[in-house]
Amino acid sequence: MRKEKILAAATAAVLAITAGIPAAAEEQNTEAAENTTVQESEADAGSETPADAVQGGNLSVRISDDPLNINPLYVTDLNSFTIMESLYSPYFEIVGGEVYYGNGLLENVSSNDDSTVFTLTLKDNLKWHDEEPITADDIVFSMDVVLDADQAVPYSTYLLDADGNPGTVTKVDDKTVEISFGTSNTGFLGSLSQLYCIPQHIYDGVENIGQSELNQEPVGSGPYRFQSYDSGQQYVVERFDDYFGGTPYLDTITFKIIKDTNTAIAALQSGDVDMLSISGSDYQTVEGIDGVTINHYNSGNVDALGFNELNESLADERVRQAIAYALNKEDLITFAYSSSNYAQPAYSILTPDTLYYDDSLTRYDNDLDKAKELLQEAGVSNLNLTLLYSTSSDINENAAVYIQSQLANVGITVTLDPQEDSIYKNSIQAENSTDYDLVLQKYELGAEPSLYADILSSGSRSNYSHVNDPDLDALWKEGLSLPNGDERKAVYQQIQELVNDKQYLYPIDYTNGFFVLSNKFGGFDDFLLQTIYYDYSKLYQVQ
Amino acid sequence: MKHILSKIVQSILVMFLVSILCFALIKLAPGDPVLTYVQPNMSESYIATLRERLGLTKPLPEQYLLWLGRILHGNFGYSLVNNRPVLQQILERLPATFLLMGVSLVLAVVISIPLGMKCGERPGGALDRFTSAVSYVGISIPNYWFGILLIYLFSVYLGWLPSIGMHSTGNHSLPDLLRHLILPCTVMTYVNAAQFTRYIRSSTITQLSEDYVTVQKAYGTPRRRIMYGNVLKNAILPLITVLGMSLQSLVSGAMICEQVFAWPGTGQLAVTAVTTFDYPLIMGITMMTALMIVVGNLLADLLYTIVDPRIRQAA
Repeated sequence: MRKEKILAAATAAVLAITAGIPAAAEEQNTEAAENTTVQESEADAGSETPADAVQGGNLSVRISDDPLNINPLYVTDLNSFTIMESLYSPYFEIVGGEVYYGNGLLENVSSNDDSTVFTLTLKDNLKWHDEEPITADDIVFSMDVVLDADQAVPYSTYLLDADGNPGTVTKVDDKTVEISFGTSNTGFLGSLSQLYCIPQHIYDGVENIGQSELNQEPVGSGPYRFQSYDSGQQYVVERFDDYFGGTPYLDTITFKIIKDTNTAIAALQSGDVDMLSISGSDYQTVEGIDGVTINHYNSGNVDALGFNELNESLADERVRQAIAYALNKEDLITFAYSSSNYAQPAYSILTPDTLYYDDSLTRYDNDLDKAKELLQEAGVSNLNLTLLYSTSSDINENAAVYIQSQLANVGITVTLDPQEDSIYKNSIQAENSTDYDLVLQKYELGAEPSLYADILSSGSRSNYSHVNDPDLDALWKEGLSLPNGDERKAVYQQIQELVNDKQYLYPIDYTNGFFVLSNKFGGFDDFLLQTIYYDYSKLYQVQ
Repeated sequence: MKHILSKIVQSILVMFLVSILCFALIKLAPGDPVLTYVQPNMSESYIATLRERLGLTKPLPEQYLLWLGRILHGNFGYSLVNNRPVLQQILERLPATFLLMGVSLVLAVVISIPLGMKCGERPGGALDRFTSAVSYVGISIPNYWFGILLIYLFSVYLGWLPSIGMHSTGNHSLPDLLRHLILPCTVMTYVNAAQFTRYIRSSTITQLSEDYVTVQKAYGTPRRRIMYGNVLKNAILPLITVLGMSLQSLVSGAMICEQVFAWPGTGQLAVTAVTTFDYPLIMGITMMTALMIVVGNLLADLLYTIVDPRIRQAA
């Protein structure tokens, strides 16, 4: 299986968020030095206690449903992921394009100059929540589980190189592990930052770890440990005093399961919930609540309009360009979100924080005459298209109505096909689906450009537009194996231009994320590392 | 006895038909349950194995028989999304639903019988007009809206009651549970009582125009004795049917009410099951609900034979 498939894009936000979790973003300056040690992010510094911090207290965080599987190797939904981050420590995180060791198990990760051998070194005195030591054996065991086909780990391809061969994992000593690949694996740090270590002494010999009862009472390595779970109600974690990053501030964190957003907002007002993430459509409601702060952050999410190329008309690039010209991104955003403050127009398939993002692409936007001209050139008239979207968000509904009305101006009749989320996922995930012509999709793939291959390369399950361009496929593959530098940059610039000129996908906007936190708590800036990557040990109650 | 036996046999037949219908409906629903939770990076061969493991590649009648066989052995299968046993998940949620729906049903009955009879005794009187107005509101008000209204009033503005859940963090005491129960229970009691009161009222009016009441009055029987000695027995007959029908809610819960108050009952579980296309869980909940409807109706039938001698004699 190709590397592109690894960090998949999923249209459903939840899947996208977890499957495509952030990404590699290796430093742009790693190419030179031999045996490069990855530079430590500045975020690592500053572990002083904030002046207003109080030890103790409980923080209630809203999640929208029961977690499906807390085991970090099997976590596939945002609710589980949100809880899991309090229970397990990653190897390291990538923050602002740099490796951040702060909440990670590793004190160092280094690679040789052609990115074929990676050396992982653990911090000292690491402990699992049952006080057993965390050693190199746990890393080797976890990697073996990931690569074991019988264990069916969804992220198994994270440990494959560009040719689809698995890495070889070797214990060097109690603190050190070496992972080597047959070919250069430039994006591996991104994958590694998304893999987790599970305790060997708990899972050794378990036949089906993903479905094991042991996952009901996880033994992790994070700042908080499992306390209780009441199905449908709450998941409670308590402070782990032997956490390597120092004793966390809060006594407990209660993840409260509240499906209904209006109820969650009311619970925030009544003080039953202290923290929740909201979408742009709820911003104005929450803005008026006293005693809370809305924190803005880059969600890393892209909303896009896909063209199903299995539809004969849409296989013609002039028709796709015409549709792009018929729309106006800024109007679309204002219409969908009721304000332009909640999202920025997107002109590249990559997000602005992705390595080699190009903001100087030609803008196919807002030119009705050009749109009509292109349709005439393509010999297309009275075109009827079905627009599929998930009803999980009213923003989709608004965007769909806008697209329908705008395309009517150029003689394209759009039939709206709103579907409940599970049916929507079914339609887009089915192979060679012709259930839709146009589709509103989302993806969140992080800062490593090679990960974006998943949404637009032939044979990928997340290629909902069914794009089949050998040139583009070749470029994705080339980009993956090249070391960072001008040559790699040129490849990704070429990809962005090709996708834009052929309008394989119409990116609509980059959405902002909003996290609401009660003013009774502090430490948000250190807590939010990037998009959905959190360090719960940094949150505290204020005096 | 024969009557009871034939009712039980009928109920078993109904359950059998329901199981076929339930299975067929799930299979007819658009979409492929496997695709819903497939990760984009899962290989085709892995998905095929999964399909096989779930028995989805077998012919439909065979799938049905296998499923029925398991159900009869009390094995409802495993959830597709979290791999946990379906029965265990339902049983975990039952106490919460049972508590909420049970308390509100009992309260609704306790409120609606005397109130409905008082209203029926003097139709058009001040109490009747007031109760009718309140009942109509109760029947027509959307649960969702009423629930949110109560939360804003009692939790947000007055701060008297908790807005969500069943317990406060770290507090599993009875008083804490009761405080959490008040708001969702108010919504469900109001909705049920409004409906029940209307039934009792109208059957009381009908009963009061019957000959036996006129005769009793002629004999000079005290009004109170007529009402609670004779009319009550007949007036609550329709309520038995309605209660029989409502019995399933003790298991299926109230989806909207549970969702608004984040009450951890089976109603919420059903919503999750449907939104994630978790068909073993959907079928488990549907079958349990169907069973309760059938049992409820059976109980109502049996109660009828006890309360109404005419039916007993006919049987």
